[in-house]
Order: sequence, then structure tokens, then C-alpha cells
Amino acid sequence: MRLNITARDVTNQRHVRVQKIPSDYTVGELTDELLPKMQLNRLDPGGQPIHFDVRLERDGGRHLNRTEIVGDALQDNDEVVFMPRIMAGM
Amino acid sequence: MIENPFTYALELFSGANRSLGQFATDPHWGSVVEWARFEAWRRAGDAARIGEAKVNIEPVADGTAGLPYATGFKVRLTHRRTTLGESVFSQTWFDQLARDASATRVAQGELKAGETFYFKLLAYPRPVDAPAKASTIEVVEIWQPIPLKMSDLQSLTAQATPVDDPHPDDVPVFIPHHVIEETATMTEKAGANETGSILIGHLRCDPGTRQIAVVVTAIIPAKHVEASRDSLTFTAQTWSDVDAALTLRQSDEIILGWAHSHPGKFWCNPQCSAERRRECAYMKPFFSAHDRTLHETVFSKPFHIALVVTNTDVGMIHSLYGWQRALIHPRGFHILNSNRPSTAVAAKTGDPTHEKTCPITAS
Repeated sequence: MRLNITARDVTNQRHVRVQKIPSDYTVGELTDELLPKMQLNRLDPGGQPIHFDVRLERDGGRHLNRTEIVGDALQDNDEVVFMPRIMAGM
Repeated sequence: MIENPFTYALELFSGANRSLGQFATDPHWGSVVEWARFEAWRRAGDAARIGEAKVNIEPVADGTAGLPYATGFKVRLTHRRTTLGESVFSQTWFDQLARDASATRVAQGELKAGETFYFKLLAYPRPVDAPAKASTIEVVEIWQPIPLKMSDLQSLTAQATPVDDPHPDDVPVFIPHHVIEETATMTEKAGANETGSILIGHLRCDPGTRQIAVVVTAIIPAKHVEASRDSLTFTAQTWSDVDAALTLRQSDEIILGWAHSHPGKFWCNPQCSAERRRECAYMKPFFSAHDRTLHETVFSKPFHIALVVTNTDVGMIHSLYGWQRALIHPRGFHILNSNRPSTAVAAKTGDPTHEKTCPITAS
């Protein structure tokens, strides 16, 4: 079984339609595959990966864990938002 | 769809023309693609076709040496065999990556700190590898038309005070005086810690001249951040909160950028003399490597801006940064309704390459 969803960034100015996601994917696998395709920067100045949380925008919204299975957590036509945990400063 | 069939490397040379080796680069191309689309859209205004256009990135060969030596690269947008736009970027786009690469040579003792170096840009065809894991996922970008509100920009300009000589090629930015004051107050209240907020408002287009302007209307203070003396981390909860606030306001506002503070007077060594503190690098505006990464990651649209409030011994200094040809630069802006007197605000342009370490504090 495969799912189709939409994904967007936190500014609401970058949207993609994501099709044919295998339902046995984990949210972590989906995230790792989608971020480069959404042209989102993935490394901090020290070369470390930037962590992105995924929020499901259904029923008031909830944050998804990387280990959740796509087929359990998502439904067709859901919308998810990729939210970076990111630092400014010296 | 983005086609990028080349990889890029930098060859560094000392001032005495000694090669310091080649460095592979893995640049983040998102800002370049956004800038090329923005340029094409400003020229032609055909948002629908630009959104569907194929993007091709390829090197501009050095006219004398030829490939792999390149003088830059170009980004071409095509839609059903029609070229919608082409943006050329010189090798200066790689300057920051070259500076980063030079740091490793400094660490290895092959280059002295502060020593002049230069670099050449090289482009190689990307090797065609079998994908490690065949992906079945299909990703199609849904182009978001730039939401414009029509507005007479001349009347806006008449109510505004220019700060730091806004450049005519930059999209003008208007920030209301109350936003300047609110960010200064937040910075003051945060004391020795950093603080931040999200800038919201509208993109306005003059119906006569078709000029576009960024008009900030308000800030949303960033909650659920992790703030310390020298860092500010935006968490998932921060973004959820901003989303909710925008929905509640029901004013069709969009996210235009972000603001954060540098508590410079708390970074500066308190044992230094007043005169030395005045000259302290921490007291001057700058945009750090972490600030750049945050801006590139979250605020990559060509109209996105970053306001930095530097808390100094002599008051708050507001400086603005934004995109110019897919690079982040200090830039000028306009303060709206600034006829009210304010003693706390003095605005200056920051130094884009300023990565500060106080030699006294560090020792």
C-alpha cells in the first residue's frame, strides 16, 4: 500500500506533493528522503545534521516520532510540516 | 525538477601562487534556485510557468583555460523548451566556502591566519552512480505564487526614514517604528541572554511601477526557544506557536523573516576600559555562521530578511541582512512612522564576514 501526502516548510512558502510513499516506511526514512528533495539545508556550520521534527496537521496537529510507521501515522492527503530545531548565535 | 550534472571543487592558492590543494564542495543550492526564479518572475511575472519550469545548473567555463576551470555557474529555467530566464552567478558565490576551506589549511599550518589566499573554481561532470536504494517516492513541487498586495509605494516611502542607504537594486524593506522599539525592549529585558522573534507582514507591489516591497507589520516573539548568552535555539514548538499566532491574527500576513539579539555588552570583557569596549568587535553588528545557516535553512526566499539587534554600552543597534544574488548581505531599510523620538535606536549596517572572538576573553 502506498500513500500520497503534501509536505511544507515552516514559512508555508515551500510545498511539495509526495506520492507513492510505501506504508512500511518509518517517518525517519521519509524525512531523510524528502529533505534534500525539498531543497532544505541539512547541515549546520560544523557539518552536523540539522534535526527536523515532523508535525502532522490533522485533528489539531501532533508531532510524529521518527520511529512511527507511515501506514499507521498518516492517511492519504495528510499534510506534514518539517520544523527544524536550529540555532542562531556566535 | 532540478538538473545539476556537475560537481564543484575549489583549488586554493597562497598569495605566493603555491597550490594548497583542491576541496570538494557540497553547496546548498536552494537559495540559488529561489533567486533565479525570483529574477525570472520579476522580469516576466509569469508565476505559473516559472513554478513548473525545469531548473538546470551548469558551469560557466573559463574563457581561457576552459573546463574544468569555471568563472561561475548559470541557472536556466525552461518550460516546454522555452527559456524563461537565466541567472549567472560569479565564483564569488563560493567565497564563504573558500574561507571555510582555508581554515583547514590554517589548522594544518600551510596557511597563516589572516594570510591572503585566492581560489579557482573547478567543475567536473557528476559521476553517474547506480542509486544506493531505488526510491519509489515521487516528489512534485507545488509552486507557491508570491502573495502580493497592491499598494502605492511612493506614499509608503514618504512616511519612512531610510537607514543605511538602501540600495536601488534591493527590494525595499519597510519596518514600522514600533517593531524597532519592541525588538529593542525584548533585547533589554533578555539581559545577558539572546532573544528572538519572527517578522511578519506583506509583500506589496506598486500597481504603477510594479516594484515590490517587503512591508513588516508586526513581530511574533519566539516562544519555547532555548536561549543562552551566546545562542538561541528555535524548537519545533516555536514554529508551531508562530503558525498558531498567524492563524489567529487573520490578516493574510506571511512570514517575512526573523529577528534576534546579540547581547554584545555582556559578551565584551567587563575588565576592558570604556574606550576599548567601544572598539570591541562584540559591540558591532555581525551575522555569524550559525545565523547564516539558520537564514539559509528556514528563510531562503529572496525577500526574506533578518534583523539583528546588538545591545551595546551606548544603546541598541539595529542592522538588517537579506539576500542579494543568493548570498546573504547587510542591507539598508526604511523605518516607517519614525517621527517619534527614540534615544535607544541607532541603526547601522553589519559586517557580513564578521566572526568575532575577543582575544582578551578567549585567553
